Amino acid sequence: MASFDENTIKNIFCEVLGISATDVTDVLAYNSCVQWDSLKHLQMVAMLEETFKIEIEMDDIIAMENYARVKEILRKYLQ
Amino acid sequence: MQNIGIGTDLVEIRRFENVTDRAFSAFLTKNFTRNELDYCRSKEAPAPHLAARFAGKEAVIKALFGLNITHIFYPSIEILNDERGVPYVRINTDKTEKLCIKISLSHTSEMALAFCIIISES
Repeated sequence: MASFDENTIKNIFCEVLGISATDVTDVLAYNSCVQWDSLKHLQMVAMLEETFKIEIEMDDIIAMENYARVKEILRKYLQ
Repeated sequence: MQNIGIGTDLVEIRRFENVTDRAFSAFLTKNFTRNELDYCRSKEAPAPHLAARFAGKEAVIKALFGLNITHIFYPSIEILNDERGVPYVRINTDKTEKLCIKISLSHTSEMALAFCIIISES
């Protein structure tokens, strides 16, 4: 398991959503970002799992509704 | 008593064409079963079949949510075809024994569509 690294998380958001790093802020949210739909969400989860060598539980995948929450959830797996 | 859940979904096929993308490969492995991937990759153009199955999984999840069943997610939902080519759904969990699930898939050159009906005996 890798350790928590916000830059890596941000880079995954940029790569999957096709947005710039400056757009990835804590308020970036599933329901307000047009690029962030269910398909991109699952791609992002798969990338996070592969990169950090973790398996994210279904309830947490559903709860990842904004960037701040994604970081909070990942901290739980990457202590 | 019978409860009925319905779900539908529409997906752009082009989004399933970039199969060499790192994020996309990880996504496929995590959310599709081996049987589904083998079936789709056996086709000359896998993208419409992958897109239709993804739409199918979304449609199933929506129909399940309508029945207040929220513990089933993409990897547990397997959509295959019988010997006549008719798609069917298999839920890989022991909590759905009393569900009758019917699904219909379709696609044009650009879009894939799925519609699902689930009948629950309670």
